[in-house]
Amino acid sequence: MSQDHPAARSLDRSDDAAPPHAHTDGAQHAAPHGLLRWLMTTNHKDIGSMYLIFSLFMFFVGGAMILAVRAELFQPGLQLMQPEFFNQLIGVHALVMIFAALMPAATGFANWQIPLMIGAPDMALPRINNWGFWLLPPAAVLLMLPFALAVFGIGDGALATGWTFYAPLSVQGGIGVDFAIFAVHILGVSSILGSINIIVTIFNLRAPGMTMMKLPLFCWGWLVTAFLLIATIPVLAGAVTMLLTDRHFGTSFFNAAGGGDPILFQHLFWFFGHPEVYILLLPVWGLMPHVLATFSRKPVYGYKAQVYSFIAIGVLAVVVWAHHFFTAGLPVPALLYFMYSTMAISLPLAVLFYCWIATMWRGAMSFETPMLFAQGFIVLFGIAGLTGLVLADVAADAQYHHSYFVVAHFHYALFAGGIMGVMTGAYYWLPKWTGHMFDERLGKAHFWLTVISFNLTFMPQFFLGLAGMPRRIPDYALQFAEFNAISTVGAFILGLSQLIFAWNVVKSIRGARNGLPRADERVWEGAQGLEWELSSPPPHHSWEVQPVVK
Amino acid sequence: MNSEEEAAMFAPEELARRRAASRRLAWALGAAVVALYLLGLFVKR
Amino acid sequence: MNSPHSTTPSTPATHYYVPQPSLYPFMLSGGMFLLALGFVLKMHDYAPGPWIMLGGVGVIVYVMFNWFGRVIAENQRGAYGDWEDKSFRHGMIWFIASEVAFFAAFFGALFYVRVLSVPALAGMDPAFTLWPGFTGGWPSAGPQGASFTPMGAWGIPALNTALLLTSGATLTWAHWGMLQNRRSQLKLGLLATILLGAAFMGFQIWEYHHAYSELGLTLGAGVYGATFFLLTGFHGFHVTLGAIMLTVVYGRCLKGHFNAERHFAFEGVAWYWHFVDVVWLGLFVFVYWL
Repeated sequence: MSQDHPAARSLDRSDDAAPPHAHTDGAQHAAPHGLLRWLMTTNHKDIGSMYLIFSLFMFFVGGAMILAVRAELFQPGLQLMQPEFFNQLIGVHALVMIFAALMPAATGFANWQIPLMIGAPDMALPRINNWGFWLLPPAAVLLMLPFALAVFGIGDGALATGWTFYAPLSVQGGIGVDFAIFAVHILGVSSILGSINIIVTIFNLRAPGMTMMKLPLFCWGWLVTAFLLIATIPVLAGAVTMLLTDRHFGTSFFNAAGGGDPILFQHLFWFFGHPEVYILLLPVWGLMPHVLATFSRKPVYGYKAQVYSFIAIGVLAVVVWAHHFFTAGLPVPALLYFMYSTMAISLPLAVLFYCWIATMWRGAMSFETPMLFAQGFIVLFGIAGLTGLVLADVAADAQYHHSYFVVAHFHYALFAGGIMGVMTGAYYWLPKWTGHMFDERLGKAHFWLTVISFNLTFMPQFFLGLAGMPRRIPDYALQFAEFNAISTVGAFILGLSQLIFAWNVVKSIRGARNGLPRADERVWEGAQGLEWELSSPPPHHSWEVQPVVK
Repeated sequence: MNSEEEAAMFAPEELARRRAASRRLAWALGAAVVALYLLGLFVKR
Repeated sequence: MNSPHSTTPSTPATHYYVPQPSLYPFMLSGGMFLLALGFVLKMHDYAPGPWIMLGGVGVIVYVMFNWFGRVIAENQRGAYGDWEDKSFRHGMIWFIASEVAFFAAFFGALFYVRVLSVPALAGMDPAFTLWPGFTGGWPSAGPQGASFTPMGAWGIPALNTALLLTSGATLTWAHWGMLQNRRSQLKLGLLATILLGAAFMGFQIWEYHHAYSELGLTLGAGVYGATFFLLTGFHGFHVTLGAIMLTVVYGRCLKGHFNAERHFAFEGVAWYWHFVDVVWLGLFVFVYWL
């Protein structure tokens, strides 16, 4: 396995690079080889690599699903698939991208970087860490298994309700809903384990002298993320459990005939669902100032302001959920409250934008690939924020709700904000992980193709939504044809350009054999922080001896 | 202390030139935003 | 580059224990996968379902025995110092916090139906509702739920409250024994806690039987039945887990594990038990009493 597994080589090297310490816990010498090494590992870098590879793989799986959807939407009418299968694809696409691509990518970053950044030998609870990762593949299989079972005549395919599982549709749905419920349970366990581990690591394993207000911003972003996960994931678990008992055990949580209410499901779901947006984005906001400071050759501007903004966003995140269903029939005082509280989030976010821009102000900037992605992130995520303000307006939302405007908005937030932020971090830290630079020309090509095709895909969807095209339908009226065709062309370019990234990662892992130079410990000229003082790749037990931070 | 390739150190003059360039770009972008805002005041709906 | 950090070694005593590679996490994930897969198949009446579930449970139990066994062995040979101990404590606290959020979802559902959905259903314009005769009130099974008698607060539930509160006291008494090295007090207190927990569970099962056979109070009894059984059911599940954990800790006490300074397992389980206790108080007030 270590022969044909690309990541294995770089990590094997890390063993060689490790200083010949007399003492270890035997983890280094008794370490199993081949496949078992990956199944059994307790090493934060191995586990981080598994998270990242899994994330990249599922990114392409979820992407393939939505390309099939976009192909169907290329023209009006039904060409490729039945509406039922279309519904399954969009729901599973969203769950895969959120739970199996974006969240594992952020957790992979956390696993790799937090111990390096805070001067720790590893994560605080290494076996729990391994369990957290190995829960993901079974959950992904559960989510997608009904596609395969349907082929053999078992059930009617995967979850067809959209990723939001709204009752009563989900109460009436087929076997795919049950599989999705348990997939969510297992993913939730994984998230909670990861969060506990990250919180404990940050609280207990910081190097001597690293006070909380010296903690790198990436760690701060993840700390708030972890608390949000602990507060909200169990609520989602509870909501889908109620759904399960409504489906199979005769309860009436979401059934008005029994005194329940379908809107209750929406409350419970979005109590998780809205913080989830910040769960996906806070790690990215945390890494952004590191990248901007490095390539501006300046210190981070407004460290404290950013920390307080993270905390403020974390608090606001759990009190704004009902803006996702303004049109469901809420009382007017509730509408007003959720509108104002939602708009209040723009204040700490504006502080973050201000700090990012001020970090670059009068900097000696250079535009390597990570910096390019950071620039793209700021501009496009800004569009996500501004369109979000429009949606937060109760009166305006009545027109935008459940239209393609919403689809465009959250893809600006979660692709341009989430995925491009992850790309920023991946290019920034890749040389630290593999020990070799990546191909800068490929990286630049990846960036420009991504930015152009992303806007080609999603900008038309704003206009489609404004013109009245509803989301989650396989067919549409003739007047939407041109914008849909453009969007589909953009989506295919966007999907294919991501292959460049995968290729670039492989090249960096192969390193010298692809003619790429070795990375030194600091990698980037302006890089600051403990993680840049270890070799690239870092030794097996990252900071066997903790550094002292002055 | 830095290495060979990508992350070659900039000379002091190059650093100064880049700082000046980023400041000019920031002012230009800011002016463009203000211009757009002012333009918006004259757009009839 | 002038770095603000130096790499002067700190004291060598600060070495953190990183455990050996282990297959148990992977196996546990596999067991959970089988349990979930089997459960779905069972709910849709596919014959292999229960057997796959059984296999999953078997794997889970096997792994838990061995994983916990290994952690206990590491602990007994002194692998953990104060630093690792602090990690376990933080971990347990945040795990319990996530459990609080889980119960909050069900309490939230209870408050929602009591304050919002049932009154709203009763208050609709008679000309526009399917159920003009529905008057609301609580307890309620909604307009079309099965009729039932609600569970009174002052019979078994009050007794159960007394049992659980007493068990919290005996557990604290056992903890004092631990801290003062009075081992017989420790063992007696733990045993009393476990027996009180078991008695609680016995009464709870009896109450469920009573509800189903005599009161017509079932999972199908509208939102009252749904919230009643899911809240008390998940609480009972947690009591059972807590009692099993207490039993393991009791066994370890009998074998002479723990001392006045180092007994995280005891304390972690005690926190868990007190948490379950507090949840019960919420249940007693909002599900049974008010």
